[in-house]
Amino acid sequence: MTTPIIEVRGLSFHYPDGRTALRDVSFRLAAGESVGLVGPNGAGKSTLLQHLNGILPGRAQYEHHHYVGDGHAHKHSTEARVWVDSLAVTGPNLPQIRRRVGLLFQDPDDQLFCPTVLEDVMFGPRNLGHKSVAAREIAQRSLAAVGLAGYDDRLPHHLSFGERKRVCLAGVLACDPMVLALDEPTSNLDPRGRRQFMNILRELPAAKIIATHDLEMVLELCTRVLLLDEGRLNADGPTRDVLANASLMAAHGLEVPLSLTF
Amino acid sequence: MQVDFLDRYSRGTSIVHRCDARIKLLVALGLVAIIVATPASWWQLVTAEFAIVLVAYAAARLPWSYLATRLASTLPFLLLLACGIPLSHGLDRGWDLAGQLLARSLLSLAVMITLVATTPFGQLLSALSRLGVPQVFTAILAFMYRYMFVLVDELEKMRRAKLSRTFYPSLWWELRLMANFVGILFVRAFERAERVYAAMCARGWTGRMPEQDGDR
Repeated sequence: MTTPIIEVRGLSFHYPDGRTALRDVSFRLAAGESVGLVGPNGAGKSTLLQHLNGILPGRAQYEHHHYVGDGHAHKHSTEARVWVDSLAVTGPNLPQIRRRVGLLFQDPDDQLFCPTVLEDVMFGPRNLGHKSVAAREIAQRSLAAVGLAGYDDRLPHHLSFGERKRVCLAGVLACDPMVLALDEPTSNLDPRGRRQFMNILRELPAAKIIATHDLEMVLELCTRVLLLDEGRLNADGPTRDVLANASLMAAHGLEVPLSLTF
Repeated sequence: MQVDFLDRYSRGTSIVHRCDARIKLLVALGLVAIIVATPASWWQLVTAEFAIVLVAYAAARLPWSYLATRLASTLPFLLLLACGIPLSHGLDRGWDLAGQLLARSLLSLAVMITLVATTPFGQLLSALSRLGVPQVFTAILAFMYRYMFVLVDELEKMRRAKLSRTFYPSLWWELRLMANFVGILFVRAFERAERVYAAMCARGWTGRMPEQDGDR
């Protein structure tokens, strides 16, 4: 196998209150590959995505007590469990990691924090050290790529949910990532918005890991599926093999997508 | 939701709207300083100040009702403050001082209302930063502007959820719910702040914006 763009080896994580989110998760992602990350609510999908660019484990590395269990104070090892482009995801590498991994959050209001659309999309390029003129150019190109050319001076709170979601994607694309980690990209979108979003995603050359309940989208966009439940990776295989396995899907609170049942 | 309650009229085309935001900002601040510093005995200057503010507002072609409702909404606070003065003098002195306080505050507020109503908030922010206001302050204002709408939206959703399950309203119950709302809103804002920070880090935030290169 060629060098993976993302490698996760034995990743476990629990939140500071003691809730376990990930148990010994390992997988690899090849450059340009599209992988679906499926599993019931609370399976740890978002938590896993946030490990890919080092937003987690974050503060859990400090000494802390659990609300549950024996309650003694402890610290977690800071040893790297995730590698991006052969770089370990640890403190000193984070700036490098974050320009390689673009994370799309579930709630666009969390991600759109600037007063205008253009400023928000320029935020990433500016942080990458581009001058204003260059950053503006990149931002406008990204906005055009998601079909929102001319939205520069619009205010985020005046946009529809679908538009906000696409502005978020433009903001991520403006950083030119090698890997896109997408958290529920199609949730709450109407069919047209969903289709639009999927068409945009399909054209992107970056590797993708898509956490979602939208299994039909996974069938269309992903060649491989990871099934996460209670923090454990329960399946890792070709999309159709995993999603068509009725007993496996039922065991983890999922359903075989309609288009595979006929 | 009412998403434009702050700068509803800021995209007008009057001469005041078209004026550079920095000039407007400086003039407004200067005016407020003069208004606050003018002794009451200089009645010619006080009259001139009133005239200037009214002319500026009229030139902006904003509806007068807008100014009136804005000013009225601040009256409870102002009256409370103003009445404190005669009260502390046994009600026989201090009425002139209270009147002055009221007049100065309302006039200063009218200046600021005109400024905010004729300048899109983003322009106001960039004017502030180009005038050398530290980034910490402009960033806080920018976040406030952005998330105020999200918070108002959340409050509105909670209110609707409450209304759709309230069958026998009572004042005591209302008050308790209101306290709950405030608490919930605070916790949600706090958690959202953490997610926003994570989203900022995800796009390379390192603690401060790169230096402006003066072309914004």
